Amino acid sequence: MRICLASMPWHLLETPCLPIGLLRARVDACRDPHTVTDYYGNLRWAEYLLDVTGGQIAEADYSYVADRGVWHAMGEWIFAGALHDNPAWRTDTYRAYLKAKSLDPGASLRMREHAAGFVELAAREILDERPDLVGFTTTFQQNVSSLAVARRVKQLRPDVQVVFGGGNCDGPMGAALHRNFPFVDHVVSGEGEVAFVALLDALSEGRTPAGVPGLVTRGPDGESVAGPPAAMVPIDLVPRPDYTAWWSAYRGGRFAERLSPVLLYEAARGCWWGEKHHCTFCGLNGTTMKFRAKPAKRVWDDLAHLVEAHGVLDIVTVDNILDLAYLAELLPWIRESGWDLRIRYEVKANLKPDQLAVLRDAGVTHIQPGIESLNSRALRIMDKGVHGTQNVFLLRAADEHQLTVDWNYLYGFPDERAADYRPVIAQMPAMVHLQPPSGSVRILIERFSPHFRSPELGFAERRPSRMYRHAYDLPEEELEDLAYQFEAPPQGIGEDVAADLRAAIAAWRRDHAASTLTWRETEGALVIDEGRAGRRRCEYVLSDPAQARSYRLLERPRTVAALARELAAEGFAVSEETLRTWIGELRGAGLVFEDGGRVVALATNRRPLRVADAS
Amino acid sequence: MDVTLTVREPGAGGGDHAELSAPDLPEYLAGGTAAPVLLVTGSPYAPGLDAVTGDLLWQAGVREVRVRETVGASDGILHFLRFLREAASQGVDVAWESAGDLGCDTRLLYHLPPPAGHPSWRSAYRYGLCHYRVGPGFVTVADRRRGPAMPVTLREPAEIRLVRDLDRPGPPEECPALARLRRLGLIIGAGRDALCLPYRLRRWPIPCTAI
Repeated sequence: MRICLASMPWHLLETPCLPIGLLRARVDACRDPHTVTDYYGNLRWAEYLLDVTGGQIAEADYSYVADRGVWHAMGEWIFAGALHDNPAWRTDTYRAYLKAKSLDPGASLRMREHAAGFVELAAREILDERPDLVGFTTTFQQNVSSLAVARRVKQLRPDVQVVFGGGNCDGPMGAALHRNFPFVDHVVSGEGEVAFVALLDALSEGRTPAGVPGLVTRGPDGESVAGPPAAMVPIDLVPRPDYTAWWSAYRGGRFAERLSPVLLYEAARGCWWGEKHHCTFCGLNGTTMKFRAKPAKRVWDDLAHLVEAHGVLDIVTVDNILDLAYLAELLPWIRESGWDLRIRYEVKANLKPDQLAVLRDAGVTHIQPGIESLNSRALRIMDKGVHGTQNVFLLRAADEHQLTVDWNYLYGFPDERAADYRPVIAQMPAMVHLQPPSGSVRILIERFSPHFRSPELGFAERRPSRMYRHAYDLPEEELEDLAYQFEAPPQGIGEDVAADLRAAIAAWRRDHAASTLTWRETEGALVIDEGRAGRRRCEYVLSDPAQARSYRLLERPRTVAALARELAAEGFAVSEETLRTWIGELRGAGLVFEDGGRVVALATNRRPLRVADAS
Repeated sequence: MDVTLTVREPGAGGGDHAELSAPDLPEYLAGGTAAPVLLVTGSPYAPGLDAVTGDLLWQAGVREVRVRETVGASDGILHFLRFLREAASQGVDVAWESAGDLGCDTRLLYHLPPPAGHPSWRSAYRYGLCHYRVGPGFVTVADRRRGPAMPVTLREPAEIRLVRDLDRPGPPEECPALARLRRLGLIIGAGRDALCLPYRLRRWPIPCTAI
């Protein structure tokens, strides 16, 4: 068979499509040989916009819809006019939504004018490859563009088999997609490495694919027929992604001269933390939480191959959590390669400094540790398994190890109180030298998360997010199965506290670049250089050895009692009461952070290297 | 235990500055901890500065180096530029004065700490402006000295060798690779010697996406 695998907008312009890379490699496991071509509709759409607008709509506008618009189905609305054959379809609904959210539409309104023209072009370019089967991989905002092009492909060539798969097809979402869009012949629901191969084998042998585990297909009367749920894919069957065709498309396209490429890699699936404690808001792992990691040797071989083949040193891993075993094997091997990689990894927040050093030395420069909050009680409510002071410790240690940290402050958890936020907000001005959150956000309810599955957690009155109304012309009960994001009456803190949190984070972000707070040992004392925005430049001098030692011990979060014990063990007999007075003094100068009965030092052991510093 | 926090004016303790002559610098830095601000006396082309590496500056925690003597066009200029490059590679600032003519196109030096009184250089200078990264069989050069530009990948073994060999000033062998790297402004010459201008990026700034 001739197979075309398509990645439609709003996949990022600078990265290959991982699902296509994986399925391309998996096709080799089919009984019959097949010819596979790739169609990068994301690149083609962005190029099309450049052309038809004379460069007025460019990659930054695309990225805005891809990054920001994902929370608002902006990209879905842009293509919904083409899907519904009506360029004005629900424009009023979309505008009302933007207004209610005070959201900048970016170039989305102008983009929609060109969507139908592009859908026609894309369908024809795909059919130029004379495919027998077209597979659309869909995650986040790729549903409507894929549906619009699939529908047109089917109109032009009804005999072509149309298959959908990807994150948007997991669980009931895949069945709902199949049920509501009759031009979709098959949906691979869940991990596709086995089901897609079984589908191709059945089709090329002239058999019905009905009954293939993880596949929804059509019965004789066009009705949806779902196979049994697929077994979890063993990690050994997850191949090295084949990005050859993407590389050609990218290099031959218009964005190679405008954007630096970043490779995507998947070393592991599932979440080892989530297996034990599922963070209550997280739906990322869909139907398979079970953690599976490729052996270090395979990851190393894959990475070395990809870096060498494409000459690209920037890598983003899509794993939901770092396999700690990689600290002992994989990462030291990467370090020994001597290559100057820049790798982004999601990690758990309780990494120790020596583990952060291993990451840094291997070129992991960018981490997403799932900090979410700096308050222990809120973290306990979300079952995060870390203490608020541990998160501050991580922020400080990340600076000391030159690691960039991505994080967000989440709120809106059932049972949280204003008292979980006010003391943290009050201490934020003392933390401006540490990396700020990108913002604060009231949690959404994600499908597959404990908040979704267990109404008793407080979100019983949930409904599909309002944004789906400007994406699909479907009744609420169908959206209930098709949607990933849901909303419910707000829980937890009120808007007054949320507004204060937002304001404190905005000030943190504003003051960060100009702020440092560092300690050094000199003249037999510990001297802390005050360089935070909004404070007078000065030096705090901890000349009493017990003062200096206590501050060093507080590099790790400790209770006052534990600090007293450790000081005593080192020969400094200091009562807890005295220590409390001392900690109060440090707290007054903003030199420590306190939460949930523990204290942690805020000064870093060196100035961070920032681009703005050097100017 | 004294529970009062002592506060004083910045620098009041005097421990944040150290003055030493260029030849003593390498040994001082090798001690592992240094004053954050170093005042360097003596010739800027002297053997001392020549032996300072970015790693030494970083490990000793140096924030700024102030060079007393004025720098001008001289046979030793490449040695001073190499020192500037090493400092720049770690985000260490260098305060220095230029006699005016450095014997080369100063725009090629905009990725290095600027001399006093050179506003266009100062406004262009930022960390990571011109650096390279090493991969298997290739070197990627990101050069934004003349404005935004996509990285260039060097794959010719002769070019990669030149980048490595001219880390320190030396006499290069004339070859097509040298001519190309000169054309790209990545290698400059003075007298018989030449120097590779971009530094190898070993420290990522925060955020690492800023370069």
